[in-house]
Amino acid sequence: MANSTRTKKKEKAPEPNGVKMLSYDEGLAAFDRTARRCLGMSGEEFLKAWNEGKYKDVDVDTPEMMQVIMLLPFAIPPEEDK
Amino acid sequence: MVGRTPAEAVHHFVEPLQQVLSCVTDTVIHVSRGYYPRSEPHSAELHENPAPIHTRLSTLQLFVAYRYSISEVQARTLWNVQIVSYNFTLLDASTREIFAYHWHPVGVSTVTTPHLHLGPGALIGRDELRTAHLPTGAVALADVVRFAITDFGVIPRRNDWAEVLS
Repeated sequence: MANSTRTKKKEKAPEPNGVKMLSYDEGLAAFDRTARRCLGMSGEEFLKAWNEGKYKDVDVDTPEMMQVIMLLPFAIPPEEDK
Repeated sequence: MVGRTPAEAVHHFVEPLQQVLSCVTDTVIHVSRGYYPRSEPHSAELHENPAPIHTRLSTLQLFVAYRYSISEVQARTLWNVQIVSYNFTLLDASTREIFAYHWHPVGVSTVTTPHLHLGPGALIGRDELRTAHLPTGAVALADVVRFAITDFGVIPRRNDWAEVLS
């Protein structure tokens, strides 16, 4: 018989009163929604262009662009999270 | 905003903001993954971002985002959350930006002091103002929410909004 404590799903640590922390997938989805609304491109497309330096010589301090840039931390993959 | 744990410090940062937001919307604040210090800042934003906020005649939308860092003040006993940038943007019913209060001292922009953008929703005719970074002091979310209520006619959701925003 399987040990019930071994098979029991590990419970998530409780959130501090009402603060909701997004998982990587949830955060990426939120980032994607904002990129689509503000820039008309997917979050993935924006990240690719951003990481390739395509915005290096562009004035990104605009209301549309800064909404997306502010949410970049939601798109940091767990393996790059240091 | 300090706490005995990083999570508590984040809570102490978010909770007052949630109170401020409750004056105009029932949306909640989300934070990016991890209650720990890291080289890149964390983000906080709204579950529904931008959040609809209602006037008698139309529905405006409020976009809110912060970046914040978590640091250890006293080894393993006291943690601090520090805001490292903010973005408060009011949009019209067609999601055109009316104004955006920005502060991003580190990063991609050459403008590192707090400033205000007037967007297409502001219906500004002068070219310089369409792209200008109008200098401001540091602006708090409560200031923007109060401004939305008193000057844009946004209907407060609670009777004690003036007290909450003071």
